[in-house]
Amino acid sequence: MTEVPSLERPGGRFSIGAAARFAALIGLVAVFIVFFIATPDFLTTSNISDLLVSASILLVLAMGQQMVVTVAGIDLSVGSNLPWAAAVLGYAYNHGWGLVAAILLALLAGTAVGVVNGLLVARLNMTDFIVTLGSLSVVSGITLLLTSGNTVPVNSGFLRDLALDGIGPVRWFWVVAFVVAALVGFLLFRTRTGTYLLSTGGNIEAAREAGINVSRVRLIAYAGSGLACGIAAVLFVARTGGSDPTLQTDLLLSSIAAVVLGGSSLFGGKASVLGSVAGALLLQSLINGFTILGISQYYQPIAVGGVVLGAAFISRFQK
Amino acid sequence: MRNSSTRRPNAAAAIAVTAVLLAGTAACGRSGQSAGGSSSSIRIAIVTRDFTNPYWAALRDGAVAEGKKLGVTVDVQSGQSETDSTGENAQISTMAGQNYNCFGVVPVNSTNVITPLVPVAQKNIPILNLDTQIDPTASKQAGVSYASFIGSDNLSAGEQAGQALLQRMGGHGDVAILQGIAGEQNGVNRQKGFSQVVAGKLNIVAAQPANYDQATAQTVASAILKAHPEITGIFAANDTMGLGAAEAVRNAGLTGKVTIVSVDGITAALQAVKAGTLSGTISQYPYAEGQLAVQACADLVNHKTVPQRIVAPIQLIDSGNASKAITSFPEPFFAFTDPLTSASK
Repeated sequence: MTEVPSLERPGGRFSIGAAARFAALIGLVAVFIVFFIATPDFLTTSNISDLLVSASILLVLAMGQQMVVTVAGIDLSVGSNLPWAAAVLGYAYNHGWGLVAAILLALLAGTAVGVVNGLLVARLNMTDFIVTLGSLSVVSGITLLLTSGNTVPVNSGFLRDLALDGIGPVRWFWVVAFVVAALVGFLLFRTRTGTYLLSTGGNIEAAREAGINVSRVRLIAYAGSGLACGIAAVLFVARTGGSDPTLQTDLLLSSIAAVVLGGSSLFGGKASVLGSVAGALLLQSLINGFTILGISQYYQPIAVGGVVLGAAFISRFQK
Repeated sequence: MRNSSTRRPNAAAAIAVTAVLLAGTAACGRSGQSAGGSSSSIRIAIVTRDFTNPYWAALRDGAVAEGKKLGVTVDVQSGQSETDSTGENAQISTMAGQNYNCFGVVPVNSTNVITPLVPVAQKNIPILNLDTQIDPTASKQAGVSYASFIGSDNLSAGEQAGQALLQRMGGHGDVAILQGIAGEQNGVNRQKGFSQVVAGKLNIVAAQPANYDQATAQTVASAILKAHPEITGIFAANDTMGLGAAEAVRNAGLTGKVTIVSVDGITAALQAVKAGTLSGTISQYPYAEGQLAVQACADLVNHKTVPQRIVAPIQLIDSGNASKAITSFPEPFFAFTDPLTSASK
């Protein structure tokens, strides 16, 4: 669906870029085989179903991160934008504004943070790393102010069904994640905006000289990441039954790791949506398999880090 | 661009290394967490917040030890941090798909575990709510009910802390409170119990959250001591904050002048009580909570009834009994009536 060779390497030849892009997929298969051998409980319908649901939030975040990484940026604000959008949803819902309005506001809240990041990075030419690090902190503070530091329960039957039900065996979370991935893939590889995103990330000066409005393109990327946080926040509230302003999660690092694992370059200009999807699934599979095997929490970051380092090792050869 | 054929072996090698690494961690990690024979038909899943907090580690150890004693399988899992609500969530939903016949869950907040517990409840697998109360209304609407709540009485812990401070401060004076994470229920109950006991006797001049964190507590306590140099007592809603407050008091040169009482009974706090930097701690026994959870699960699987609410013991530790408490840690050094054995007889 989304596996399209990046701009600088056209053609169907099995290139180094392709090898690195498939690294996450190959890694995913390898992890599946290891866990399949280790336990009969891993490769079961119910567990794989659960694994995909658990991976959905990370997957959506990784899609947003993918857009920013494509323009050679990075979005660290994901770590607080997700709880922020979730808190807005909780706030609106508990003030009786209705679920639809609450969900729309959450999407808007996430996008707003992305737009501010985008304006600071693209218009004011501030360093992406510092801008999003700053907004990571600012947004977490605003979230605490909005909620007075309290957990906000969202007790909605619709959201609970979203988390637990689906069309037959196809769970709603997969549908959301698939649609988001498909949209990002379509945007990147089938539209002019996507071409602009890739060229801006590949060589911003060349893109500017070619007449591309690079600051608008970068703004779109950050806004996209913000919107992804909003969507992820809806899934998050559905799954955890509320929003937690003090949420500390490893989702920020995992979202970057998934994109890098997928074969996208942090220097921009190269994107693989399918790779990032595989990367997100790979990271979640590790955690899922470790839980089933009853392996201590302490080993999980080591394994996740090992996988990321392995991906970095592979990508070393593709310059 | 280099030739791709030289590249592929490298990629393959990296993946192989990763796989071996994974298999390695899988192999050496597997022994630690489960106990009991696999022949047993009772498989108990306990999920808590994280193991870096010694409190939850003690709960895990108690559960695993009790599992060994009863010869049942006990698997204890946790999220990555005190507020890792999604991580814990994913683990419960993973475990819900495995063949466990009883769950014991410590939630991160009042709602985060309800959704993944819905499939468990639908299969009529008994669920125990451990340590921190899960929202009863939201649970009911989701169709999740709990066979029992096992935890310490935090209101009573706060009351005991209040009495301890009253006694040591001579029944009057100014006192400051270090709160936990804003809105966290156990902390709220501890403060409520404390405030009720000291009302009208001690003057609460400051109450600020320090997120159950030692460094934060030290900063907050230092600021409070500067603003209110006349205070003679500090109540910290947990031990790590109590230790931070003790540090702040020492830095201000007020050791011995300010009485500090906290709640939990972690090793570092017991040692601080023995050393005299901390005046006292209301020790809870998560180890006993873990034991009680496994006992209750075993009873439930065997279709015995368990009480709706099982209260784990608490005890004031001061300079008088700190040594005894340290020696028997993490088990209580005193005898307590096991509410389960007395109930199921």
